[in-house]
Amino acid sequence: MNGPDFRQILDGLGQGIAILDEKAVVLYWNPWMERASGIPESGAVGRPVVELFPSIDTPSLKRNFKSVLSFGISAYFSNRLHKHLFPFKPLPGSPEGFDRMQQNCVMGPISYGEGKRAVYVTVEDVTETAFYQRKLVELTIRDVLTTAYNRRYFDQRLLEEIERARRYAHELSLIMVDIDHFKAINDRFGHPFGDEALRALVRSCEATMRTTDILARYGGEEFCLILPETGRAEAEAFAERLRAAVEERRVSAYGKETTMTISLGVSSIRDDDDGPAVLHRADEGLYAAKASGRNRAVTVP
Amino acid sequence: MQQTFSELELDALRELMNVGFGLAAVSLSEVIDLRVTLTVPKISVLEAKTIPDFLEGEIDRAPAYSMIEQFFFGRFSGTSFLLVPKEEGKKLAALFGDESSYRDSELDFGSFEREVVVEIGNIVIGACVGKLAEMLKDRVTFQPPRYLGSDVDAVKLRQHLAENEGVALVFKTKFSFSNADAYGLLFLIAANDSIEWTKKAVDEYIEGLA
Repeated sequence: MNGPDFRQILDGLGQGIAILDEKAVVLYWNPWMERASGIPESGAVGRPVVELFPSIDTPSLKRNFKSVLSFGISAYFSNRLHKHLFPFKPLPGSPEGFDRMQQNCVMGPISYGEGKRAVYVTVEDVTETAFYQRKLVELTIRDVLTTAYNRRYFDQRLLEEIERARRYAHELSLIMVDIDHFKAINDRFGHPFGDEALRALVRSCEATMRTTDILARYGGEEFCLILPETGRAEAEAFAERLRAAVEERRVSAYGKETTMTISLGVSSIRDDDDGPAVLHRADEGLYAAKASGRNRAVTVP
Repeated sequence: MQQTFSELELDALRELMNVGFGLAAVSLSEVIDLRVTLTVPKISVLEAKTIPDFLEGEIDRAPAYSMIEQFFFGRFSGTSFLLVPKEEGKKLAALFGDESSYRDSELDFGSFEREVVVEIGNIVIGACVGKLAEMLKDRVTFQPPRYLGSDVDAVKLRQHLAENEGVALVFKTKFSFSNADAYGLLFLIAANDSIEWTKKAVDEYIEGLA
C-alpha cells in the first residue's frame, strides 16, 4: 500500500529544507534551497555544507550540530541573534538594506538508513520582518532631526558601555559637545538654518569618530559622544580634532552661510565611579570650557 | 504519595538519573567542550497540584532567575525548567556568545544574554533528558525551548504551571559550568501519564541488576 508522497510537500514548500549526514555532507536539498542559494541539488548533494558555505562554520553551529546528532535535540538559530545561517542573497523583491537574506533556522534529528542519524535544517526567510523590526527600532532610538541617537537610547547605552568596560577592564571616555552661541545663529539666520547647523555638527562628528563610537543628541544643541576603549589622551586628541573640524566647516543653507564653534567637556571612567559619574564630570568640563571663553575642550579627569 | 514508588524503586531511579546525568555531563564536555558538573539529583513524588509550592521552596529567593521551559515527549514525557540566576547568565553570555555576534546582532546586552541562555539551556536540557530517556530505553523529542522571563518568582511560576491531576515525579539537580564559573538549576517534571511506564522501566532496571 502506498502512503502519501511527502517529497511533494518538500518540493513545493516556501522554505528551505536541507538534510545533512553526520559529517554535514548534503543528502537532500529542496527546490527552495536551489533557488535561494543558486546551487542546484546535483551541485549540493555529496558535498560538505561547510565547503559550499565556509562562513557557516562557526563555534555555535558546531556546538548545535553536534548536540543534535548526539542528544537528538532540535537547535534554533534565531534571526535576532544569528541574522542568518546560510549566506544567501535576499530574494528578488526583498526590502532594501540587507546584504544577506535574514533567516530563522531550525536543526533537528532525522533517522535514515539502518539506525543512522542525520540532521535536517529548515530555513525561513524573515527579511521582511527584520526590515520592519529594524525600522521600528530606528524610530525609537534616533533623533528625527539629526539622525544621531536620542537621549533615551544614550542613557541606556551609557550604562551598558560602562558595565562592559568594567567587565573587560577597558577604558571608556565621554565627550559633551555644545554649539557656541547657538541662540545667536537661530536669531540671525532663523530656526530652519539652526536645524542645518545641528545637522552640520553631526556630520562633522561622524566624519571624525570611529564606527564603534556612539553619538547622541543629549538635548537642544548639546551632543554627547561615548568613546569605548578610549583613554584620556586619545579622547583629548579626538576632542581637539572635532573642535578644529567644526571651526573649519562652513554651514550653508537657504542661501546663507556662516561658521560656528563648539565647546567640549571630556572625561574618562574611574575605578571609584558611582553610576554615570563620568557624565557629570564631562558636563563640568563643558561648563568650564564655556566659562573660560568657548571654542575649546576642557578635561575633568 | 510516596507509595507509588517503593524506596527501592526510588533508589534505583536516583541511580539511573545519576548515571544518566553523568553520561550527559561527559557528552557535553566531549561533544561541545561544555564542562558541566551535575549534583546528585533530588527526587520527589508529589501531587501535581503541589508542584508550584514545592518549586518555590526549592529555589532560593535571593537572585532573580532567567527561566526556560521545554516540553519533551516520549513514553517518558513531561516538562523541564532550567533556571539561571541573572548574574550567572551574564557569565554564560561572555563565554559562549562571541562578542562579534553581539555587536552584529543589534541587540541590547539583555536580549543577547537571553538568546545565549536559551541556546545553552536547550543543549543542557536535551543532553540530560536525552540520556535519562536512553537509560530508560526510550527516545524523546523536544519542543522548542521557551524563555519565560528574566525575573521569575513563585507568583509567575504558579500562574504558569497548569493545574495537573494526579502524581508527578520531580527531579532537581544543580549544574555548574566549570569553564564559566556559573551555575543553574534544572527541574524535570515527569507527567502523570508517564509514571506507570517509568515505574515499569525502573523495575526492569532493578531486575537487570539482580
